[in-house]
Amino acid sequence: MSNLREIAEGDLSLTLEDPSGFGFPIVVTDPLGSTFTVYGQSGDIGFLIDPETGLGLSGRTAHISIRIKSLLDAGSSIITKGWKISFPDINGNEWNFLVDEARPDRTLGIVTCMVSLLVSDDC
Amino acid sequence: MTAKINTLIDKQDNFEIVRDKVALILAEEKENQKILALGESKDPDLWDFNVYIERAIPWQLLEDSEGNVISETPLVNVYYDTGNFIQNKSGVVERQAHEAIIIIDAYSAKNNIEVDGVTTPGDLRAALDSDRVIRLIRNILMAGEYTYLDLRGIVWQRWLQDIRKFRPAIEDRPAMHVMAARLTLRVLFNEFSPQAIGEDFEEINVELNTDTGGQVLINIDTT
Repeated sequence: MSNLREIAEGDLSLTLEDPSGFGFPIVVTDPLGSTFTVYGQSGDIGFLIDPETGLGLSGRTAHISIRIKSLLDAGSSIITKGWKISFPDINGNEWNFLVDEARPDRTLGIVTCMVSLLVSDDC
Repeated sequence: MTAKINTLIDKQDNFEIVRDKVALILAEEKENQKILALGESKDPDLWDFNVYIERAIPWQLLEDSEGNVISETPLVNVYYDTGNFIQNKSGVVERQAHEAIIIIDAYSAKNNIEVDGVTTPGDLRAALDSDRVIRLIRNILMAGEYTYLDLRGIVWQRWLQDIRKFRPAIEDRPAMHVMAARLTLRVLFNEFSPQAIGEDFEEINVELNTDTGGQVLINIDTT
């Protein structure tokens, strides 16, 4: 019989990944160039950047949350700093990011990453 | 009581002129630097920055409303911060010695970039770029030609007080990397205040002559 933590981890397929819910496709690229497509939650919103001068800059803050089990089942390892991430916004525009900070939660089985924009010479 | 100042106060004070002059010097000299760079076959963008005065609302530095990157040119904001009036360098009637702090903030916002498969982090690019801009500003404003900020007769002295680098707070994780640097310029100059305009009280015309013996004779006309 599964304990509550295992049940909660299993529920991530609904709460985090369900495409009919809030799940969105996220492409993850590791440092060796291998790509994996998983479903998870992504966020990309307007954000006031405070450079601590007393004057802010209008910017963005973006993040992803992915079920660790789905990454491992896809053949990937847990995301770390420097990995590349790609996901679309609500209007279908694809955005490329670099992982600045990865925060794996091995208790509940989610990895949350803060990401920053990546501009490629392919653009 | 009736007002005693009968002239309209509609000129800039010297603190405004000094602030504007600092911005003008930076804007003109960086354009000249870009021309000099082209003359030496160097990338003029490395000598470029945009100059603003007294801005107070957040900048939209990197992207437009469509989310497209519009420019990575750094920007510089020049503003008057504080001023002290030094009594023992001033006159009680007409002139005040004003020691002003002019703040010059340089902002650089950079994305991570990937060229030929090599990624360069945006925070490093932004930090080095803000250093570059502060380097240019210091060299321009402390050049010998600008000892008096081209305001000789008004400015006594200008001096670079300090340079400070800023980094976003540790809990902030913006999607675009911003670094800022501040150069604090201390300028000592004169301010002048309205003076009473004298009225002719009595006009006396004096004609000096000598008689044949050399005695000095004076004709006074008070009409």
